[in-house]
Amino acid sequence: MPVDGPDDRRRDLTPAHVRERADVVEVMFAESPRIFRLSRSHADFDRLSSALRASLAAGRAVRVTLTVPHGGDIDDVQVP
Amino acid sequence: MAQIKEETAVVSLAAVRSPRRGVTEYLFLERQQIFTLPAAGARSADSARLLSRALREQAPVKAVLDPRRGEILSVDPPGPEDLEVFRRGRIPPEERGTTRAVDLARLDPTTFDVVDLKLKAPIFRLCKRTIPDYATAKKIFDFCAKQGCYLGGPFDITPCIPFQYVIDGCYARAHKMRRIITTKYRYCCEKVFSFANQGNDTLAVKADKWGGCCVYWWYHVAPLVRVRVRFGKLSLTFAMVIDPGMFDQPVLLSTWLAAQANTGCSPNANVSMYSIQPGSAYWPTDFSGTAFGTDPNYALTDGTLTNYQNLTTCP
Repeated sequence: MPVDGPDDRRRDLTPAHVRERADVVEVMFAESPRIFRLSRSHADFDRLSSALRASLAAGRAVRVTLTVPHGGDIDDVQVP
Repeated sequence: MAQIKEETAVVSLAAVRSPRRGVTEYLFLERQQIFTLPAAGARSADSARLLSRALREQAPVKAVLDPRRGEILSVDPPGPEDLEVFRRGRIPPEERGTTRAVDLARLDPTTFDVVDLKLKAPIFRLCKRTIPDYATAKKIFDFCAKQGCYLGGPFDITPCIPFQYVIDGCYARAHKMRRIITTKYRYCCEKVFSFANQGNDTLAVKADKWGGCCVYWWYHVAPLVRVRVRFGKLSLTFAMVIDPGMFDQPVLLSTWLAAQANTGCSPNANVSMYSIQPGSAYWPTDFSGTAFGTDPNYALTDGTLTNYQNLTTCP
C-alpha cells in the first residue's frame, strides 16, 4: 500500500514508550513531548497497538496518522 | 516535518550483534533504530568489513541508511568535511549532563536552585560566563519573548518562536533561545529537561498564558541559565529557566519543575526526573532521558518553528 508523505495529519515518529490506560493506550514518541492516545474503541485497535509495540521493540519509526491535523489521537499507523 | 527516506549520515557503531543465525544487527550511537545489511553480496561484504573495523577502532563511518526498511544501503569512510559535521553534531562524552530523580514534595526551594551548593552538574565547569544579575536575565527573557509569533512582529530573528503553541515543539523553541543566549548575549546556556517517565507520571501544566487549558507532556525542555544574585556582600548563583511559553519572567528551576506537576490538571501530575544537559542537546532519543540528539545547524529547529507558527494551544 502506498504511503503518503508527512503533513499536518501524518507524522513520522519513533515510539519511545507505550502505556496502558483504561480507555486508551498512551504512546510517547521520541520526536514529541506530547502524549498521544490510541482509543481502545478504535475499530483497528489490535493491529495499530501491535504495530506500535513492534516498532518500539525495533526502535523503528512509523508513519502515524492523527484523527485531526496536529491532534493527539492516533487514527492509523503504517509500518514501513 | 521530517520525512522518512534514504539518508546519508556519519554515524558511529555502538554494537554489532547476531541475535540469531544468519542475522547481523548494527546499532549506531546516533540512532534508536536497529539496522541490518540487505541480502549478501560483494558490496554487503565490504560494508560488513568496514562496519566491523569501525567498531573496533571506534571510528565513525559515512552510511546511506533506509530508515523505512531499517537497512544500511552503503558504507564508506567519511571525508574531512563529513567528520567536521559529525564532530559538531555530537555531544562529546565529557560534555554529557546529569540526570536525577526528583521528589517535588521534598524539594527545598531555599537551597535547591543554588548552583554548586545543592545543584551540582559537572558540565557547569565547562562554561564560566554566567549572567551577572537578574536584570540581565530579564532582558534576555524579554528579547526571546518578543520573538513570539503571536505578537505579529516585526521580529529580530527568523522564523519567529511559537510560544503560543505549548502543546508541542518545546525542543525547537529551547534551541532557538539557546542560539540567542549564546550568540547575541554570549552567556553560558545549558538545557534542562523534565521527564514523566516513571509509572503513571505525567507532566501536567495549566496553560494560563494561552487560555487556561491543561497541557500534558512526557518531557519538557527549556534553556537553563546561571544567574548571579547579590545579597549585600554575599553573591550566589541561581539556576534559572527561560520559558516564555509558561512564564512572564525567568524563574528558578524549582519553580519551573513545580509548575509541571499541576494536580488540578491530572491526578498523575508529577515530575519523575530532570536532566541538565549541554545546550547542544536537542531532544531525548530514549524514554529513560539519558540519551539526546542534536541539531547543530538549527535546520530541524527552524522547520518545526515554521510548522507551528500559526497554531494555538487552547480551543
